Amino acid sequence: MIPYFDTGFLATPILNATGSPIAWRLARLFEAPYPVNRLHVLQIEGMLFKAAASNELPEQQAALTGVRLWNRHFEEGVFEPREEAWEVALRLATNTNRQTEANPVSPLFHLHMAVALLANVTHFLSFRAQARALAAALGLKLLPERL
Amino acid sequence: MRQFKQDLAKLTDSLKPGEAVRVTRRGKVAGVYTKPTARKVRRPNFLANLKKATYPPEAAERWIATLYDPVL
Repeated sequence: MIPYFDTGFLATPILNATGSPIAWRLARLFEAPYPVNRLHVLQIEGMLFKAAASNELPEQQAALTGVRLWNRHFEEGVFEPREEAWEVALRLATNTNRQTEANPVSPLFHLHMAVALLANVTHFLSFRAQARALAAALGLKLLPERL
Repeated sequence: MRQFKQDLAKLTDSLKPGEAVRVTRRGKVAGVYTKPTARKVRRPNFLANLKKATYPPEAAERWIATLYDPVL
């Protein structure tokens, strides 16, 4: 069983969100370390840095805690950086994006899906309906099974 | 070397931990790539860490929602 965490799902172990308890239960189905690619890193760190620059105190607190946990999980080897064949993934994502011209979604969903396919993953963990629909169409098992 | 760069993820998946392959450039060995040996990592209790949070889940939700901003 090889998991692929959607970035929103990957954020739930570092940010106290409503999906965190479910994400924790599902993550335990898979052995650590959990693979994390550069697209994950770019999205998560971008989100945390923007939140840290927010004028709202709760959001600053969320960002600071998130950054601390994010770094700690890498230091402890719980999250493992993974290199991907980006050129191939981008080409694949461009093709699948063109195939969904009638129902466009964020190109980032296509890029994640391409990376997941190239990594031969078996399970796609996500709380995002659009990403889940793409993953299901490509034959990946979805977790949670229902939203 | 070119193929190695393009297919690194696929190659890594196909190797067993500790297994190595030679990477050639124009027929000459340019290096050796070894898949790291598997290691067990103790999984932290994510929820226990998050219970110390001093902010409401809504604050986190707002930022998670921005990950797939329509701009991209």
